[in-house]
Amino acid sequence: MELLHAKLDRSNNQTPSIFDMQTPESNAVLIATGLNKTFPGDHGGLNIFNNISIHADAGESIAIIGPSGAGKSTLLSILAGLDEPSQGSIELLGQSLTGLDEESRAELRSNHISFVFQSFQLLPELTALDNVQLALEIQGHPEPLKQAGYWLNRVGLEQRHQHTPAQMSGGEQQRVAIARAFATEPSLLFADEPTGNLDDKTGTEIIDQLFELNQQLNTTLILITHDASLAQRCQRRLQLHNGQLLEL
Amino acid sequence: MRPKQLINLALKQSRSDLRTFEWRALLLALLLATTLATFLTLLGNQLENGLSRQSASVLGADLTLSDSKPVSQDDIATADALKLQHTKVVQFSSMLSTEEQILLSSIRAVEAPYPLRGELRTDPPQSTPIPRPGTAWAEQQLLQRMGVEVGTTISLGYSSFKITAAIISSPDRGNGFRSFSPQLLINRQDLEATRVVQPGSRIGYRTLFSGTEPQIREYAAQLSEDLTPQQRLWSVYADQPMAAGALTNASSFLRMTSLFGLLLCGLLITLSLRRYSSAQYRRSALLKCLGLKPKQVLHLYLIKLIFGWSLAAILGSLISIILLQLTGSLLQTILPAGLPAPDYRLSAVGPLLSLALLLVIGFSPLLQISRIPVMGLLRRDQLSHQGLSWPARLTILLLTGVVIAFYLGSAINALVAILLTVGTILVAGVFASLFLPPAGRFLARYSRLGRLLGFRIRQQRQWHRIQLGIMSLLLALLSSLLLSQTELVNRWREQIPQDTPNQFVINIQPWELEPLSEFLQQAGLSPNLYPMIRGRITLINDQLPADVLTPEQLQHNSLRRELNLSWAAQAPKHNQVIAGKWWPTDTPDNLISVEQELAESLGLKLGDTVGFEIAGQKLSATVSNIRQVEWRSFRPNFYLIFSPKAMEQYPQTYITSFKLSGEQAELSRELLKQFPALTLIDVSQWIDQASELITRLIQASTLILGLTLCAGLLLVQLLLYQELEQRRHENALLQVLGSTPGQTRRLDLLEFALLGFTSGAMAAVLAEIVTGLISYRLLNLPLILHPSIWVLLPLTGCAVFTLGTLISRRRSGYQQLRQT
Ligand SMILES: Nc1ncnc2c1ncn2[C@@H]1O[C@H](COP(=O)(O)OP(=O)(O)OP(=O)(O)O)[C@@H](O)[C@H]1O
Ligand SMILES: [Mg+2]
Repeated sequence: MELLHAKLDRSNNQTPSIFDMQTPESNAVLIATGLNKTFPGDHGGLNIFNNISIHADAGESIAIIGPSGAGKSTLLSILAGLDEPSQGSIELLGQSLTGLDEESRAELRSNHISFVFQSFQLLPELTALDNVQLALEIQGHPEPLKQAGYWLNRVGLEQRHQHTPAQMSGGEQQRVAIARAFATEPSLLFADEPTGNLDDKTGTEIIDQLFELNQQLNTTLILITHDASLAQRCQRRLQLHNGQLLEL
Repeated sequence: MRPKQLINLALKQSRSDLRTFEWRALLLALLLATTLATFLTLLGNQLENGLSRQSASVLGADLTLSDSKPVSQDDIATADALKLQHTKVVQFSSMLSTEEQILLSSIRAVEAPYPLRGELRTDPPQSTPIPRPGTAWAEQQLLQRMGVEVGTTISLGYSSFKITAAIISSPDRGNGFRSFSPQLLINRQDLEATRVVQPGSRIGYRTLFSGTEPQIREYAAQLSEDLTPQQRLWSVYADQPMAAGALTNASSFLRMTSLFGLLLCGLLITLSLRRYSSAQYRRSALLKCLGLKPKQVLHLYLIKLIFGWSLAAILGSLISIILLQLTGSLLQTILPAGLPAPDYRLSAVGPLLSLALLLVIGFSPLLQISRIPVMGLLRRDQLSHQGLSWPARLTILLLTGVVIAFYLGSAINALVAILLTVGTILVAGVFASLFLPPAGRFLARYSRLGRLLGFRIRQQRQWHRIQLGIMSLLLALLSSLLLSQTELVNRWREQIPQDTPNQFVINIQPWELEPLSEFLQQAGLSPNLYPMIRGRITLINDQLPADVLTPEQLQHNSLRRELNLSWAAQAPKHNQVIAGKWWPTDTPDNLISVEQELAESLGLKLGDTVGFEIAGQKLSATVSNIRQVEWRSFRPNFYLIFSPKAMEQYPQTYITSFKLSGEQAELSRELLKQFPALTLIDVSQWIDQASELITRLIQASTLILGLTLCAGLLLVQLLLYQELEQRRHENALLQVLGSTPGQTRRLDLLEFALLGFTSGAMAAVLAEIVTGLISYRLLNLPLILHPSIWVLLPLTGCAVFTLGTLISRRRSGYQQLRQT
């Protein structure tokens, strides 16, 4: 309830950006059609995948699996607007990415998209609290400190607010990363092997947390994994193989 | 993200960056650049203010006319017509003596009103503007050197003066060498009685004028229309600097010394920024991933750089002011007038220079940071930077050149410096690297490590060249600076032969000839006494010089001022006749013997006639022979010597020189007592005064050298650190392939020791070239080699690199531990 208020406050205080205007009739947050990626090189370049289409609804959880080198990370960065497809179009939250400049993409990310990485990617000079707060400050949240504290508590790091990444275990660092990812209340969360650097037990705890928040906040989850048990818990599983995407 | 939050983040990051080597190196480079530039600018300004700027309070007037003759009545009449105030000053060098001490000093005889501008401050303060007749005011340095106090009586020529006050500061100290000697101020009325001013004595006459600006400008314009070669004008409204030869040279030496330091700092800033920025790619990608806009990333890093710069600016200014106090106290003791405070507004120069360097050099790395693609976070390999294009590199080099040119005030100097630096690095690097493969093959014969080394030498050729080039240049410049500092003055002194006279006696009047010869003979000295007559060349082969000589020839000193002429029956023993024959003792003709260099400059041949004007009379003489003169012999030497008959009727004084050993010091006091009007010049005091000045300046430049050295060592460390970091991966690979960690470490050490050794050897070659050029081209000293640096430099290079490797290894190992 408190959260909802925070979100409402924010949309009242801020001038609404173009991305706040979702099409009400469709529930889709991500629609990609006819994606093709070829890296330039000799012999016509290196083709990674062809004619891939994905459709993701709000709150859905999707796992992308596939052998190493298949192009999973490449696909993810294209879906998130970090990289350009060679062909095809992407619509994020009803907004076409084609022709969107760097600035607008940055704004889109800070308001609606979060990432979780295999290697945590926290800023080493900042405390856990500062790391989370930073994302909120970039977003322009009215109460970044309060919100950051709330989210750290929520991932079970009440005692670790003032610790720097070097003072925390891998699992704890990933929790900070998850707190940072959810604190901005994104519509979409991309994760590239979030448990890749963790042992099984810690990995499971992290996954539990991810899905819990995915349920509670209705955040669309798109994650890459090699971990079969993690893939199993997602609503949909897509396999990238030989440049084709198959729904399993 | 709001600006305040951006600043906060920048602050936090800068603080934590302090732990990283590259951020520290960057800050240190900025600090060094700021300190060097500020210090040099302030020091230069101080020297300029102290010695060459003609402010009214330095001149003691608005306009000063100096001459070797008293001012003409006409000039005074014109000044009166323009309602200018004026006063006359006579200045000359003479020996002062007390019972215990004699001292070469500069005497100023003045008349009231004096000075016309500025203030003469004395201790105790005096009620009269100038000393009363019979009294004198002495500069504090004079009192110190003679070991006397206010109230003592000292002798000058035939008179004695009671010192009634010490001069704290005084305008109108004169210029050139005279102004370096400690000064004594006496009343003009007493001058006659001292009998030191005789026809033929070397005296400076100055007339000071003051008035309104239009009056002064008009008068100066009138005077400058027909200035004689002996006359000089100094005006507060004109911008011709007073010549202070030695000091101008010294301060340009200081600037060149600092230029190298600045270039090193520029290089350091470039390299540390590059390292810094590549260490920031991941962080920047992450910030962008969180939604920070590229422009904001750029701003964030700009703010960080500005933070770093402010820190360097504040610290650098403080340090340079402390250094200035140090040099101030070094120079204070030799400049009797002391150094004025510099214009502290100029302390902005250093910070501005380093800011300009930082922005020029830093712009493209910052741009790269802000443009780093976010997807790099998903793939490790993509966070490398794309290198700069050649046009971008050239632009940066050019802009750096412009910044440095601004600082030096000369585009040519900056261009030459940059081209020389880059060129030398390239050439030295390529040459030195030729030495590596044979060395590798040689070592390979003895150990397995040697074979691995050979592999590495082949693989790292490019990097080795750059490293060798930079290191060789660095060592070469540092050692040449050190060598020239310690060596040049000493060598110049050693050049002076053992029996070189150290006492000159001038202004000997004809009636003193006999008693003086007797006096000297009794003391066991039998020096020659040479007559001296002053005159100028007016005609060459009965034509005006302007009609027969080229413009360059007309610039020759001998045509622009009065010459010291002499006559002799026999050729001087220390001169050698190289063309023609010396005349018979009793020749009735007007003949001259011409010094070789003068004969060449004016194109004089045997049999040519030269016309002279001596004491207002015309005289013509024929060139009978040409002589070679060793000017460094410190004996009286003359460009022109006449046959005895020719000179008979002219007023003349005599000059002689001899050598006194330390124990004979008594003799010179006795001499002055018996012949008070003579001017005795103790050459060793003179040389001491000059070389003390040089030594102090060299000490001041050692400070700069120290700063340069810091920059250099930092640079070496940075390069090593960078290299070792890259090696970590390669070494891990070697270890996987079966080497032990100890072996890879020994391999690194061996490689760097070899690099150090090679660059040291290359540096020795470069240093010989540089010092050779300095001593041969600048000082005309014969070339000598320095075997010591052939041993020392390679060893130093070896030691620096080995130590650097050990330090960097420890640090990177430590960091690696922290990171995992
Ligand atoms: N910038 C690029 N230029 C050329 N080829 C690239 C580039 N980026 C990725 N590739 C290639 O694209 C292919 C897919 O890479 P990607 O990182 O997407 O694979 P992945 O499925 O994430 O593998 P992994 O499971 O090992 O992370 C690889 O063969 C890689 O070499
Ligand atoms: Mg991947």
